[in-house]
This record gives sequence, structure tokens and C-alpha cells, in this order.
Amino acid sequence: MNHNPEFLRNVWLELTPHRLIGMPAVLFAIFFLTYLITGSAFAESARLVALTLYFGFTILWGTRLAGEALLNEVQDRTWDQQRMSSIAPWSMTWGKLFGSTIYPWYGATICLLVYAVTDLQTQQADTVKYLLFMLAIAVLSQGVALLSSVQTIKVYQRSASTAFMVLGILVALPLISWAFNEAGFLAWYGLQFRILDFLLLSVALFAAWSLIGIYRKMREELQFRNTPVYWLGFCVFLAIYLAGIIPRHLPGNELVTLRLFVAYSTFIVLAYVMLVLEEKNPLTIRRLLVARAQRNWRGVFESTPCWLVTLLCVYVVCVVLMFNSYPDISLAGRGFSLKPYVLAMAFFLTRDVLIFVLFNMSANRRRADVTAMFYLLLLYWLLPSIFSGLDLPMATAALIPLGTHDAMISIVSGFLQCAILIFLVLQRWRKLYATKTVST
Amino acid sequence: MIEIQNLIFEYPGVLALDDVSLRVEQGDITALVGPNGAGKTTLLRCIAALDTPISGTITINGIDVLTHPRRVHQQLGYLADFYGLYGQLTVEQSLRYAAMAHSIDAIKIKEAVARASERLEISDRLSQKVATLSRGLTQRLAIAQAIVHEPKLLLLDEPASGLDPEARHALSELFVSLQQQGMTLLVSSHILAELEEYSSSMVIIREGKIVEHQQLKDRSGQLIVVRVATSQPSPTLATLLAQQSGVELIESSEQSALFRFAGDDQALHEILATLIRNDVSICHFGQDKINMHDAYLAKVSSLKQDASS
Repeated sequence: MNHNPEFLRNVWLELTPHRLIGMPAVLFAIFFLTYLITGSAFAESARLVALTLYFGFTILWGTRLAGEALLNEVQDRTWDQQRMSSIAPWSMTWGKLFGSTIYPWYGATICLLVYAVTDLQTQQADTVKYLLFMLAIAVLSQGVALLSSVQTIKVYQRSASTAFMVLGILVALPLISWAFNEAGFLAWYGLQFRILDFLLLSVALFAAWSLIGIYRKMREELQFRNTPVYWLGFCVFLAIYLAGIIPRHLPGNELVTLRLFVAYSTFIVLAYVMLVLEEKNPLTIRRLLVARAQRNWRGVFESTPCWLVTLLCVYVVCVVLMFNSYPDISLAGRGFSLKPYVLAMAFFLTRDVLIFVLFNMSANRRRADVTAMFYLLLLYWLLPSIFSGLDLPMATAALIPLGTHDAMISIVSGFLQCAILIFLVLQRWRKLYATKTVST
Repeated sequence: MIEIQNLIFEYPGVLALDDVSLRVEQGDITALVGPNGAGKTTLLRCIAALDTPISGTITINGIDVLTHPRRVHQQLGYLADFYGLYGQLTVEQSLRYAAMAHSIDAIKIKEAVARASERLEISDRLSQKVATLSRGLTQRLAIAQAIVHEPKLLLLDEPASGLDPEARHALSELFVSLQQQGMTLLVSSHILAELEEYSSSMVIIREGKIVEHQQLKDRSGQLIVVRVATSQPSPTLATLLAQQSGVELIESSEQSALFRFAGDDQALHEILATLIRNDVSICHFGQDKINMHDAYLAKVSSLKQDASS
């Protein structure tokens, strides 16, 4: 650890003698107060207090610090200096993740020890599994916060620090509640898991993915060339993971169709996620085109944004679903064809991507994403609500690809909207680069 | 040292560097001058591999910056216009961190910290918190951090902004001293007076294009600009001078000329003798100084004239 300058710098800044003494002193006072209040039930009360404090330290405080770790560097203008250093991406990853949160972890470790001792004393089951779960969920929550900040550093910067914290907490809280309150079993691809075991494995896997994500983004920030292979890997992993939750008692053909549809929906959601989190300015597309013009295929792959890769995945699964021999699923006791809806969803996703791209090509790009989201809100909620209120189901179908009775209208509408937006994007692109040429 | 070819860099909708080509020799102190927004910082950031251009190539000591940015980082130091320091660290911790971050061996870190702090004359401040340093000392610490790993190339963006005259002069002396120790410096500024003291060449950048690259001094720091004036108009003056080896004409008319000269006193005497032999009525022949300010304004003025015509 001494050889990681980023971790060491955080230790110098965070672990001052005053703070090193202060934390155990305050925790001792809290547990002593618990003893005074609860008396003979101290072990059980201390276990709950330790648990609460642990999550307070790691999920609330630690997640906030992790989300701010990189933003503070950018704001204090120290990030360029770090980018020019020889610190390896992996060292930077764990140096920032555990370095920035080292003080909350100092307190959390004490709480974890108290929890372990009292848990064993009160003869609770699965102490080790719960301890591992607590560690994994804390890493996941902090990892998500740091990953969001490093992912969006060029897009949103300071303004999003609270959002990163909230995101990390939102990921953690339902899982904590589930793990500590639910017993029973869960089936995944037909395999029976205890809920705690399933959550422990899942959280550990997603925590690992969050670390991989931070590492890949750090590589990019530290001027290594990245390809979207790892992102593609995560998309496939998530699609397979979520498709496994579909109950196995369905007929075989329907099960395959439903699993493909879950994968399809997963890719669509991930496309939207990256659309919001990733840079979409015209330069990302221009770099891609320049690399293609130079026949630099590796450069093309490196320049391809993740949202575009995910969009291509959506198209691939869309084609598979369209040519699937068994497109019907049972819904409310009757056969239901997914094909038209699958096609309509692809068109609407494409339209939404084009809306984001169009606004990001405008002269004032500062509010491009917010403007795009505002328009999507109009298109998906306000206008359909009005049409619905006016009892115009055809007009509603033209704006919503799911939940309507006439999917063909959605398909035609989606296609026309895409065509209009492609025209507008091309117009704006020509205007933007009308007089510029790039030597190849 | 630095070789840039056909560099194009864009911000969305703005062409910040437009087909820039530039060569900086090892051991030079090159002043990068131009108005605000001309592309100076963008060029420095591209050279430092902090920003990636749309196209073009940059090599530093033969290493391609775009392909091997991390290798290049080991060879250069970069001081941004708003240099970032950790206010709550001490000066020593800051330098130790910078040394470790540049992968200096653990046993050599102490030595590197001592050397950098001595060079920048901040050895007596090692235990002081960065936040308590004056502007001038903060500047020195930032430079010490940038050179703690002994880079061959130092890029400085507006290094003297906010410094008082005394601190600026000390900074000039420091740059000359770093040059004498073999370092190449590329210094960006729009304040020409601060650059004149130490620059050996000047690059003028305007609207993302390099419009002039002038040698101001030779390596020994001697000015090699000569001014000639005649008492009678002499149509052959410019032609005669252009034929001499080591002569590069800067400006000329029938009654005067200004030229850059690379050679010794004997060679200079030969030029004078040649002019006299050819009946050029010399009334003045002597070394002159290129005033950076004048040279810059002259170039800008000629560019504006070209543009209007």
C-alpha cells in the first residue's frame, strides 16, 4: 500500500492524529451510551447500533466521498497532474476508491468488529455471510458512485456529485433491506438459491463489475486506449443475469422468447443509461469518421461510444427476435405476438438517440442532455396523456411503442420520426462541418 | 525535440488548431505567443498528451505522443495556467507525492525532493503547509513538482501571471538556469515583456495557426541580428546580403537591412568588406536587437494588411 502514491496521499490528508483518536473515542461513547440505556440486552442493541453505524459510514458517508473523489481533483485542478503521472490505472482505481473513503472505513471497521462479536454472542446465523455481504454492498455502493463520477466527468462535472451519492445509495438500500429481512429461496435458471446467498453472490459480482468499470475509465483518463469490449461484456453479463430470473415452468419456446425479450429490454435500458452518462458531442462521431477515413480500424473501434455499441446490440437482438420461430408468449391467458412491439421499440430507441445527438450538435451544448430529456418527457408522458384524455388511441399509439392495441401505428410513427430526425441531424452536421476538412 | 505535423484539434464547432506544424529544437526556450483564445493552451495540452487531436502527429524525442502518451509523460513536465496543488499537504509531502507518482525509486525519492526544492529555493519551506505559501512560493512549488522527475521538456502555460516584478525576474533566471542544465522549455504567454528576458525563439499563433517561428538568440544566448544602413540608395544591398553564407534577411530596403547572422566576427567582417567592395555606401553596420514586442506587432500588422488586401 505504501507504493500507491494516490492511496498514501489520501492517508496523509484523511488520517490526521486528531481524527485517528477522535473516531474510536466517539464510537466508544456511543456504545457505552447503548450499554447504559439497554443494560442486559446490550449485545443485541450493540449489534443493531453497529450495523446502523456501519451502513451510515460506508453507504452514506463513504459513498458521498467516493462520488466526490474525482470531482474534487477536477475542481482543484489537480487531475491533469495525476493524468500525467506514472500511476497505473489499477493503482489509481483502488487508491481513489479506498483512499478517499479511508476515514469512514476506519470507523466502519470498528463497527464491523463490534457487529461480528455481538452477532456471534447472540448466536445469529450466517455471521460470516452477512459480514461478506456488508463488505460487498459497501464496495458496490461506493464503486457505483465513483464509477458514475469518472464516467460523466467530461459531461456533468461538479453539479452531479449529489446525484452520484444518491445513485450509490439507491443501488445499496433495497439490497440491504432484502438481505436482512427476507428468508426463503430464489430460482435462477432453475437453480435454487437462498436469498442471502444469491444476494451475496450477485452483489460481489456487481461490485467486481463496478471496479472493472472504474479501472477501464481510469485507463481512458490516463491516456490508455480503450475499446468498448468490457462494456459489451457487461451488457451480455447483465442480459444473461436478468434473463435467468424468468420462471422455468413456462413452455420451452415461450421461455426462450421471453429470455430474449428480457435481454432485448436490458440492452435498451443500458443504451439509455450510456446515452445519458456518455459524451455525445459531434467530436465523438467526427473522431470515428476520421479513423474510418484513415482506415484505422482499431481507431474506429476505440472511438465507438458505448451507447452506439449498445444500440448495435439492440439491433442484433431485435433481428433475432424478429426471425424467432416462436414469437408468441402467453399474456392474460391468450397468445400475444411480441414482434411488432420489438420493432416499434427499436425505432423509438433510435429516435431518442437521434434526439440526444441532435441537441448535442447545437451551438449551446451546455443543456443539451437536459433539453433532450425534457422532450422525451413530453413525447412519452405529456402528449400521450393528453391524447389519452381526448380518447385518441391512434395518436397515443403513435407516441408510445408499448401498451397500445395498434403496434403498426407505433412502427410507422417510429419510422417516420427516425427519418425526420436523421434528416435534421445530417443538416446540422453539414452546417457544423461545411467548411472544414481533415487531412487524412 | 518536439516535432508536430499537421495537427488539427477541434472543440465542438470550433477549430482550435488548424493544421499546425512546428519543430522545437532541444535546449531551446521557445516562447509561444498570441492573443487570448489563439490556441496556445490547446497546443500545450496536445503536446502534453492531455487532449487528443482529431488528426496529425506529435513526437517528442522520437516518441509518438498519441501512441505512447505515458512514455512521453516520463519525459516532460507540464505547468498549467491554473496549477493545482493540495493545500493541506506540506511542501515536502507534495514533492514526495509528485516523485512517487512519477515512479521514482523509493530510495531516490528523498534525493529527488531535495534536488527539486534546492533548485527552486524552497528547501526552507519543506514543513510548511501549501495553503500558507505566498503566490510566488506556490508557483515555485508547482514548478518543483513539474520537474521533480528531471524531465527533458518543460511546458509552461502563462507561468508568470499574477507574479510581482521581482518574482518574474527570478522566474526568468530559473528558466535560463534550467535551459543551461539541458532542459527544453516551451513557454506560453501573451505578455511579451516576460518572455523577452529568456526566450531563444518565438512562435506566433493566431486563430489556431502558426503564423511565425523566429529564432531570437543562438544557443550561447548572443543576439545575432545585424542592422545595415547606407547613406545612398543601393539597389543591390539585399541581393548582396542574401548571397552571403549564414545570413537570413529579416527586412530590407534600398537604404537599410536587418538580417539574422550565424557566424563568427571574421565572417561578419567579410560581409562588411564585400558590401564596401561593391560600392555600397555603408554608414551603419552593427549588431541590433530583435525586440519581441516590435517583431510580434510587425508580424500581426503584416498579417492584417495581407488579410485586407
